[in-house]
Amino acid sequence: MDAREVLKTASLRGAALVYVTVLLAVIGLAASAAAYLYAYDAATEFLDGQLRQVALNAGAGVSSADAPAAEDQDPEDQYAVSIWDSQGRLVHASLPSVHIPLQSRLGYAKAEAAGEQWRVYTTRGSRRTVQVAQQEVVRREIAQTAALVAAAPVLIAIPLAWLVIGWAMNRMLARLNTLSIELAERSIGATAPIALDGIPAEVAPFARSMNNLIIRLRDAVEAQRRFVSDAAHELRTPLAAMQIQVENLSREARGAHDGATTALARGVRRTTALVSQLLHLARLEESGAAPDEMVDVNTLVLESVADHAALADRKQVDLGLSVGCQAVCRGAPDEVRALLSSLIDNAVRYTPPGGRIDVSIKQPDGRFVVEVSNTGASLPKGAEARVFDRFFRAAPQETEGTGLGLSIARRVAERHAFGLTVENRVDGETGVVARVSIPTKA
Amino acid sequence: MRVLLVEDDVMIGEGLAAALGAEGMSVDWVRDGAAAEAVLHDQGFAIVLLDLGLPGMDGLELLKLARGRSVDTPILVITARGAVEDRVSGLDLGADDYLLKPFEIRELTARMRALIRRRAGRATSKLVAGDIELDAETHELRHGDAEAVLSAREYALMHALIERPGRILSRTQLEERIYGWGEEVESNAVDVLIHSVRRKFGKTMILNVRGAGWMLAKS
Repeated sequence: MDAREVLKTASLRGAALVYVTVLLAVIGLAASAAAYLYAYDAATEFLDGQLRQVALNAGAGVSSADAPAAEDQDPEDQYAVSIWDSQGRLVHASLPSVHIPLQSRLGYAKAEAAGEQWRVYTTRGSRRTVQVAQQEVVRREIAQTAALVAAAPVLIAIPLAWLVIGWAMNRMLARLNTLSIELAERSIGATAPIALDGIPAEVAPFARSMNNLIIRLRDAVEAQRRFVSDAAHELRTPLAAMQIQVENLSREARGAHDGATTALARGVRRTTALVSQLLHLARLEESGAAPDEMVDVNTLVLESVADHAALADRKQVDLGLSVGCQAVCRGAPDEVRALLSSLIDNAVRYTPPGGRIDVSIKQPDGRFVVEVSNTGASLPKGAEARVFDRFFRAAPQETEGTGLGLSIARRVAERHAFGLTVENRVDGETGVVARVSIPTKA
Repeated sequence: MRVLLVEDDVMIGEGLAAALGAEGMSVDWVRDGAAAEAVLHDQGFAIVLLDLGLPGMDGLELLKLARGRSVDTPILVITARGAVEDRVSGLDLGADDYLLKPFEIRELTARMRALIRRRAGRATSKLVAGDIELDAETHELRHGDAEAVLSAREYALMHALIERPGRILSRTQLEERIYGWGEEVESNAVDVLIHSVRRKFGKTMILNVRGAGWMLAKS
């Protein structure tokens, strides 16, 4: 990934690394360039002085041209001293192999010889002309060394900066990582604001905005719930009036419109059931954590079965109970009862006359399981996933129901951390089995 | 029987007045708390039906006021407020019963009668569940049109069932209620008793829940 991509993906750590690296590189280059130039100038001044001294002091008795160079002397460091007499004859050349032509101009000059650049100083006396030359490369080497020395600390600083920035960033971002884990694990109903302590100051405004958003969302959700609850509530009064009027009507018009008033009464009853289930669901959505009371599941199952025994009897449905263990849990008895009741209610609704409903309490592998299985139609394909949806009814149209029972059941199960499944039977019978699985830890 | 109805909703007020009138009651209907307060002291009312959401003075306030002035007419609260807290505070403030709107007239009149009876301190020897009536003195059982005097064991069985209509009693629970300590109980004794009661009153009076026991329907 190149630097531009790093900046584009907006990784703080990546961006910091790129910026610091670029900065340090620029500083290093600038320092190095400055050191090069200064060192070059200083070396030039110093070495030029030496060239001049050598030229002025090269006497008649300069050592013979063929004197060997000192063993440890770098050939580059050797001066090339050439002396011409007044007739212009070369009388001395310290490096005979190097022929630097006599410069036309006195003083400092540059020349080229033997494939090298030379710095030349020429002086002329009454009897002779002395020219001293030194390779330019010497000066460049000095300047390069200086440049390298200047750049070295910066070069070392770059990887160190990476380490330090990486470490510091990790430390700062660790809190953000914890924060994101917290947010990811938040339940949808959680309304507490995000804790701001330990969050880097630069990120705090962002977290605060998020908190504001959470509060606004909470208010909006709250308003929504309140609306459903208020609406259901407000419907009770006109429904009560309708209920009374329908009863008065059926009393006064006895015989004449019996069919119509019965249908009307059924409609009112159905609307009433819908409204009270809506209210029930809204109340479940509204309240926070489930209460923590001891719940005697067996008693609640028995009561729910009893509540539906008369209806089952009228429908000629054989309702049976089999108790295999004593099940208890912690939670809200009212809610658990509503859950069980809605499962049994569904079973009674969907079982055709002559059918059979088996309610059982068991304890297979550590959990309590309440099972309500009935004979009758299977859930149509695709309906298994949708049975918990509000107002979804897998029913034949003549089956009366609000379509909210299983939504209520699921909400209660969620609040109590129960498992709840409704699926087609696989034990050879056709029909549906609803299963509540209750953790045993009390 | 005079009934004070405190209800601000016209449709409900008119409807209730007509329905209760048809039941032979005479209904005085007021539509706000202040008017109700003015007539509360009238000793002639057998019962007060009180709506909670009233203009002017709230129903709960009126309730408090009435009980503060030691008005001891039975008060039946009829309201659309269904929250548990409302119910509890209503009963705490001295309501005798609480009925959530919407309700069936049948339910309302049954509760009104029960309250009036309770206030009158009239003990009744009759146990009732739905259309089943058991006379504790004569051991007579009535169910719809059928009527018969029960044997001691049959009576014990029906008494156990009718005491808590809507609740399932297991074979063991019934045996405990029917037979004395140390009495030898045949394994099918309960079935035999139930069979004999059903033969007189029809199969549907006593409901059977397979694996759990027997019960009477609540209403």
